[in-house]
Amino acid sequence: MVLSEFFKQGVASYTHIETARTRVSVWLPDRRQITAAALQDLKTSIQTRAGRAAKLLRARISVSRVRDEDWAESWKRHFKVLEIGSKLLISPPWIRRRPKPGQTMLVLNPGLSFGTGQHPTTAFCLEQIVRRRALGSSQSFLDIGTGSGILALAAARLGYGPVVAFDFDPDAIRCARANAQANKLSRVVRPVLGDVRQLSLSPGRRYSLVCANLISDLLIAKIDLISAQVAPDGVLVLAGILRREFDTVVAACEAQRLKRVACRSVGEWRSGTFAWARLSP
Amino acid sequence: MAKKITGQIKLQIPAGQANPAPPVGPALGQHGVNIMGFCKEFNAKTKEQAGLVIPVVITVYQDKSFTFITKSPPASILLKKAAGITAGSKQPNKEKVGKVTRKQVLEIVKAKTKDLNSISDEAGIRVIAGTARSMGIEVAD
Repeated sequence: MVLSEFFKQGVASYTHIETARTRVSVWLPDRRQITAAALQDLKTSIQTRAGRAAKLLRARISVSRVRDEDWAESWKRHFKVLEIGSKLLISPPWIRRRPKPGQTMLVLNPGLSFGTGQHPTTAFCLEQIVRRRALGSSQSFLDIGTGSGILALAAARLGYGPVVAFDFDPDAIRCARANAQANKLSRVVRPVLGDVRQLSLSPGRRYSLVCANLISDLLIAKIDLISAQVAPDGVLVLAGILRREFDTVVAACEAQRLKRVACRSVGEWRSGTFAWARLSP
Repeated sequence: MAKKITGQIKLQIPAGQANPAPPVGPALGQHGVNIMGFCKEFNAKTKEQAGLVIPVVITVYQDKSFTFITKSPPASILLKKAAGITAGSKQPNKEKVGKVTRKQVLEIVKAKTKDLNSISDEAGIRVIAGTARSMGIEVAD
């Protein structure tokens, strides 16, 4: 409030979750507005308003020059084309890149829902979808917590079918449907509103590949419902698990007779693929 | 989907008027948030509140996707509007720049009910009156 009133400009603050440090910024069109006297006045104003809190927060004022740019486009530099193995290419719509021979392409506009492919958990699921595709055979796919729809759309592109996707967040469904439409996959992938807690223990259909990129607590609590969706020769890909929680997830799967067949750690995340353990004769 | 939050951006934007110019563009762009996507959603969500400044909290996830929530207009803006002034005092303890009635303060409390964590109207009035004092606005009975 002090900054916006002082400079008569809109301000923005950013709080980094892990460090809990907050930076409050104001963008001024003219450098001449920032004089030593103005900065001193600003310090006094902050101290008057905040009292002792200003000292406690050890607020520091810094000035830097920001190059004027096309702000509407500035965020796009954070996104690059993603290649998943040799079969799948995921590209933001503003990058024109042709897929290589034998490669299928998905266009994804990053935005309001989780699942841009940039996160290690999503990347692991995508790799498993590519790796587990057996060309020429019929393989069904279930995406639990579809977010942007990236996994379901990738599966549909690679030839899985039928492809079923749901999420409990209406915004995610809106986003996933828009992405399906943008990729001309609306007829193949129709994401619906649904909750993992409403899955059936004896479903009408079991799937060749089930992806659940959720959170550990939910995966562990609902592993019976999730595993019930996996076909006898199918596999289950679980992601969204922190390294320290992975062993608990594996134990929950083993209690359902699912054994780990692949896993990968990237940073603080660990993801795994599970298949039904064969019973001894 | 697994969501790990990296940070939160807070802004105050006139309802229905978000655009990529500062502060929105640089604040969102440096964290990889889809600026036009946000502006479109924000404007659609706030178009009924034209004329008010809306605080917004944008949560940014590890994969640069985001969600946002809008809040009620800041107490300072509602107080300035009620007192008929354009700015608060630079020396609120010495220089008073306006006056609001207790009834006006109560109206502000009602408008901000969902964002105030006070347990009663009386407690809410004390919170808003505190903001008024820090702006050099007197609260009269």
